[in-house]
This record gives sequence, structure tokens and C-alpha cells, in this order.
Amino acid sequence: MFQISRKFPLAFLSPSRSYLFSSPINANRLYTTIKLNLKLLQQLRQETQVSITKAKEALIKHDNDYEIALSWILEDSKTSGVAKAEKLKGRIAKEGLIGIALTNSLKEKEIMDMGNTRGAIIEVNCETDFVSRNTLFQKFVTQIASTSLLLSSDITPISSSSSTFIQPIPLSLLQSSPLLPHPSSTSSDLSLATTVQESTVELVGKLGENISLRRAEAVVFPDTSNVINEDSYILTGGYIHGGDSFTGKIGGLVVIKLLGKLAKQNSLHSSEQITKLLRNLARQVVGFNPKYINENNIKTIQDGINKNDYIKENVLLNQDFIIGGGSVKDVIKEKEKELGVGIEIVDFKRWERGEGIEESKGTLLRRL
Amino acid sequence: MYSLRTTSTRLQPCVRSVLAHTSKKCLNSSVRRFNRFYATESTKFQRGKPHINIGTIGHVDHGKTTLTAAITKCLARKGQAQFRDYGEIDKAPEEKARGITIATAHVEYETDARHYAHVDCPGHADYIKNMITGAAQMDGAIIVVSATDGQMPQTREHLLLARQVGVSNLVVFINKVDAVDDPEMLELVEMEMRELLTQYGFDGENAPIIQGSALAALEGRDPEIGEKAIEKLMDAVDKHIPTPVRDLDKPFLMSIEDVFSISGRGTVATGRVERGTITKGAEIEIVGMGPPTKTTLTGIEMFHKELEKGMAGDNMGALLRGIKREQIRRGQVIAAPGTVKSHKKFMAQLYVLTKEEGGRHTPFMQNYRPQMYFRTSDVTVTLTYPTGTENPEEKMVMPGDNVELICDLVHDMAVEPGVRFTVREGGKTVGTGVVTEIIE
Repeated sequence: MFQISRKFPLAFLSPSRSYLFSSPINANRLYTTIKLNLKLLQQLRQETQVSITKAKEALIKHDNDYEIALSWILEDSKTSGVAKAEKLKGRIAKEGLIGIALTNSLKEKEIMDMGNTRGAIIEVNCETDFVSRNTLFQKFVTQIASTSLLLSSDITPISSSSSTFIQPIPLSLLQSSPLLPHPSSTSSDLSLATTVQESTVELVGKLGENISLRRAEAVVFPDTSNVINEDSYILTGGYIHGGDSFTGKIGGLVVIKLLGKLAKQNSLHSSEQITKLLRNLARQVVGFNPKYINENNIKTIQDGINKNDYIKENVLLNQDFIIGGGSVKDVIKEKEKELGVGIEIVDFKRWERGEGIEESKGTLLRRL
Repeated sequence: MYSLRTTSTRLQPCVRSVLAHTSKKCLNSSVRRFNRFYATESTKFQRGKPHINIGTIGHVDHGKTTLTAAITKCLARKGQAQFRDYGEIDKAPEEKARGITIATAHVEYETDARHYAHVDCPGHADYIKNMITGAAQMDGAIIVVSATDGQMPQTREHLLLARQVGVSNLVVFINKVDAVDDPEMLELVEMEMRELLTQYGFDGENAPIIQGSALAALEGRDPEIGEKAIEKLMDAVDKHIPTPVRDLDKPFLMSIEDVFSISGRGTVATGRVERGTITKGAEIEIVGMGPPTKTTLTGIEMFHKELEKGMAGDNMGALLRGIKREQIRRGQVIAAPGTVKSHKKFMAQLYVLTKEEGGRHTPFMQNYRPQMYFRTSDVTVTLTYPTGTENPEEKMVMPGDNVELICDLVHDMAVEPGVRFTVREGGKTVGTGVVTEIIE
């Protein structure tokens, strides 16, 4: 009697012996008897930011072996997040961030194709602005923007019209692509990367909100042989408002075409004159919300609205430039003279996070 | 006896605005008194309990709305609240405060010790707008964390928000404890919370942490983790979140609305007493627009009658000894000596109105110079980004933004943290804000 009561607890406490029990019933009893290592639990939480219940499960299942528990969590988060994501899917997510990426801000050399610069703009939504202020979410949005940019070099333009340089990236394609590391990260190993879809699911598991990639567009050169000819050159500028340098509340992209003999000069593209102009044009788009590039793009103006006022408010080239010096048109003319090249704004995009989300899905899809 | 008859017409608009300003509060308290009157005869002569504003902050699924509903349910049983169900609170109706749209659910209840106004907002921006407009200033907050998840990555954002809206006293409610069977896990959730609180500048060691289940309380089951936990929570809130000093108990301050010269008596300044009390013969200081002037208050008059004492909320005329009419101006303040100083530069949190709210249509840049209105003064201000802002020359402030900016006045005024103001340009309100920190 005495011996038994001494032996039994010992058998349960020793991990090596407890493996002797292999039936599921015994295994369950085993979990409750393993002493959870709280230090490891805390460490695991800090490293993975999974819920406390999940971290406990990982350690108990793997006998307080930190490394195994960690890899189990990484594997599990891809699947267990799916259930959570599914559950949260119906909830309205109209907060979130706009992210932009430009080729000159990326390290990947292969996408600096022929020197022309490109850009991508994306929107990811979540439920509250607490989550959109969190660094995990901000990083995620930045990474998706970079991924979209990389993808855009493989995309053949949907429309052949040369006026639409910024074109949608199919979301299904983006979802299944490996997520690029954050620009600030030193690792460039893509082999271990999870897909955008998997990373979203993982993040839903950590942040517990409905997170969805809503839209992504990028600069795509319509027809390589035609557009990028001997004496023209495409440059993209971007600006983001109300956040960090990559993500925020409102984002804008502007695509310009340089024309003339000097258009292909490298020194010109990286000159302060051009980079500042690009940046300010994107800032103009974000700040002053134009609807058209020039007045010829206007189809109809409602009755009772003063045409001149309307043009000055809604046409990019006719707006007062944010940096002063007259209208956007005036400043561009000035720059053309100064630099000896033609400068043409060929496309722009301005997105506000959450815009139009309250509308029913049908009308939104139609509008987009 | 000097008379303010000539000024009565001038005073009226100001009185009206004061009434409009306080009508909401009056309404609330009269409703309360009305309820109590009919509840029990014995409470008929009881003075109002001290008033506190609190809020719940937490992750969407951690049960902050359930908790708010549970608090009203438990207190309603004692006749100290009206039960508000989950759906009612969760909707968070949009309301307008100072022309700004804010989504806030308001709940009102009282404990044995105090009366509470409780807010529950869906997002960070709503809490900030509430702080800026003063629509629902929080004196303390309840942070809700689920025992099953523990703190989440965004709990940091919750604590940063509390900091930003000036809440320094927090009570933590660990919810859903019935879903966790291991007491050690609950301890760990608690320990992690204490660490995080300390990391973000709160008193993590001493902050009360209550464990319970808001749902159990709401459903009236498991009283240990249900109703009793709510009782414990409210007890902790009563004890841990200090009662703010009432306006009446603060040092005297009256903002000068108008100045008159009464022949045979001297100079009279009129205005509404913002806080404190003052008696005839008291030493006072006139602050703003240059070095302060000390003098004596030789007379107080209200409704053409002389008074011995003026107090917060009064519209009074103050007769000032040895002061010439030209020496004082609208916008200066009369205050208890040494209690308020004059400054030119300070940090403020500003909300910029959207086009729909009647604000600007376009952004503004650094060094924008609108008019700033606070108390009775208006003064030109230069707005710049805080030091350390990256590329301030290319940043913009857009309608709808919440920003922290440095305000530089063209001349010094009596300002202090907590003073609210509006920013206007060409007769249009651009934004509204609150002073957060004095720079110089």
C-alpha cells in the first residue's frame, strides 16, 4: 500500500516513463499531470504572440520542449487560423491601412527593369484602428505592397490602352504568392516564406480580427516595345499620408513619362529635381484628390456647377500646386524648360482606406 | 453702487452660451435627482455623489461590451443603474460634439460611493475625439483582457491610448475565467498584464486586477465569478480611481469677457467664473498679454446686486483696485495669485474637421497661421510639427486627422494643460483641440 502510493506519482512525474502510456485515454491523463513550465510559456508567448491557451497546448503536447513547441505553433497557426478567419469573415472590416511600394525603395535589383520605376498600392482592412496602429499589422501591409510590386513585373497588362499604367493585380494570384520580407529585414531568403494567404491567416490568429486584403494595383507597362522606346522613360512617384513611410490612411501613386533626347539619362532620373517633383505630384494627388489628369478627360459636368471652378478643383493639371508656383501645369512647364525634357503625367491613383466599404458588396464591386 | 445695467444686454449672449454649455449636465443631474426622490424618502436630502467618468478599453472579442452591460445589470438590482443590454451598447450611436462626429455608447450608473458616466467606443479615434472635445473625458479606465487569450499585440495600443487621453489610473478585468481551468494560467495572464502596465508607465505592481466572467454576471449564474466579481471590480474602481477635483474646489479663475469703467468706482471686468470661489477683498492676479498684475478685488456684482462671494459658474462683475480700463483686456484672466501662468508655446492634440463637418476641403502644411479661440481670447497661432518629426516640410494635415502639433501664439496667454480651444480661419472652424503640454 505504502509502496504503491509512492510509486505512482513518481511514474507520472517522470517524462521518460510517461511515454510508456500510449493509449489516447492515458495520453489525456498525461497532459494534466505534466507540470507546465510557466517560464517557457511566457517566452513562447513573447516570441510568437499566440494566445495563452495555444501556447499552453503547444508546451503540454510536447512535454515542455521549447523548440518542438515553437515549430508546432508555427505549423499549427496556418491551419488553426483558418477556422478563426472563417469565423470572423462576416464581420465588417473598414479600418486598416493603405500600403505603397516603389521600385527605388526596394533592394531587389531584378525588378529595376531597364531603369524604369514602378510602384504598387494596396489596401488591407481590419476591424479597429487599434489593430491598424499595431506594428505587426503595419509590417504585414508593407510586405504585401512589396510583394505586389514584385508580382507586377510578371503581369501582362489587361488593357492595351496606354493611358492606364496602373492596373489591378488579381487577388487570387497575390494570395498564393510568397510574402516578401519587410524592406528593413536583412534576410532575402524566399524559400522559407509563407504565402500571402497563409500569412493573413496567421495574423488573424494573433490579432483576432477579420483581416482582409481588399485590393491591389501596380504600375504595368502596357506594351514594352511601343511605350518604352528610344526617347521616353517611365517614372513612378508615391506618397502616403497618416502613418509611417510605407503605410497610412491615404495613399497615392503618380506615373510620369519623360520625353526627348535626355529622357533616358540616369543622372536625370535620380536628380533631386525629378525625385522631388514625383514626390510632390503624388502628394498633390493625396492632398487635393483630383479626379482627372487633364480637362479633356472630363465627360460631363453637372448643370449648375461653374465649369472653371470644377476644373480647378478636380483636374490635376489645373489644380494649384501644393508647393506653390501656380498650377501643376505651370510648374511642370517650368521644370521642362529647366531640365530640357518633356514631362507628361500619364496615370495616377488615390486610395483612402475603408472608402465605400459601408456600401453593399454588389455596388462596391461595380464601382471598382 | 456701480451698476451693470448698461452691460446687461452684452452679457446676455454669454449667459445663453453658458446655459447651452451646461444644459446637458444639468439635465443629467436633474434626472438623477428625480429618480432618487421617488426611490426612497430617506435619500431626499442627500447631496449628489461625486461624479467620475470612466471607459472600457479592450479587444473586440474580450467582452468589454458584455462587461459594461453586466455592470449595469448588477447595479440595476440595487436601483443604482438602468440595465442596458449588449445590443444597445454595442451599437455605439454616432453623436455630434462641437460639430464632430463621434461613435460613443454612454452608460450611466452609480455605486454606493460615486456616480459614474461610462463610455464605450469602437475605436482609438473615437476616444481621442472624446478627449479633445471634452464630450467624455475619462478619469480612469477598465482594461478588459480575456483569460483564454491573455494580452494581445494590440493591448499595447490600448495602453498607449489610455496614456494619450490622460488616464493614469487603470483597473484590469480578466474576463472569461470560467473558460480556463488552470489557476496558474490566470496568474500568468495577470503577471503579463502587470509587466505590460509597468512597461507603459502605469503602476503595474499596484493596479487592481479582478478576475471574473462578465457573461456569467449578465446571465445571473456562478455568482463567485459573476455578480461578485463585478462587485469587486466596481469596488476597485471606487477605490483606485481618484475623484477628480471639482471645479468649485480649484483655485479661482475668471476669463475676462468685457471691461468697463464705472465713474466714481473704478474698473470692472466681467466674465464667467470658470473655477473656484472668490470673496470680496481677495488678492488676485491678472494674467496674459505681458507680465501679470497683482491687485485686490474690491467688489463683486451679479444681477445688479453686490455679493460677498463669487463661485464657479457665476457670471460676475469684478471691481478691481487701482486698475485703469486700458490696463486690462478681454482674453486675460483674473486668477488666484500664482495659480496660472502665461505662455506662448505649447503642445496640443488637434482634430481637424472634415468637409462634411464644416471644416476645410484641403490639407494645410507646417507653419499654418489660423486664429486660436480659447476661453474668451482669440489669438493668431503658428502650427508646426513636434521636434523629431521626419520630413516636416513635406507633411500635410488633412481634414479628418488627429494630430499632435506645436502651437506658437503671437503673444502670451494664460494657458495650461487641459484647456480646450478651436482653430478658425476666415469665419470657418478648422479644428478643435486641447492643450497637452506647456513648452515655454
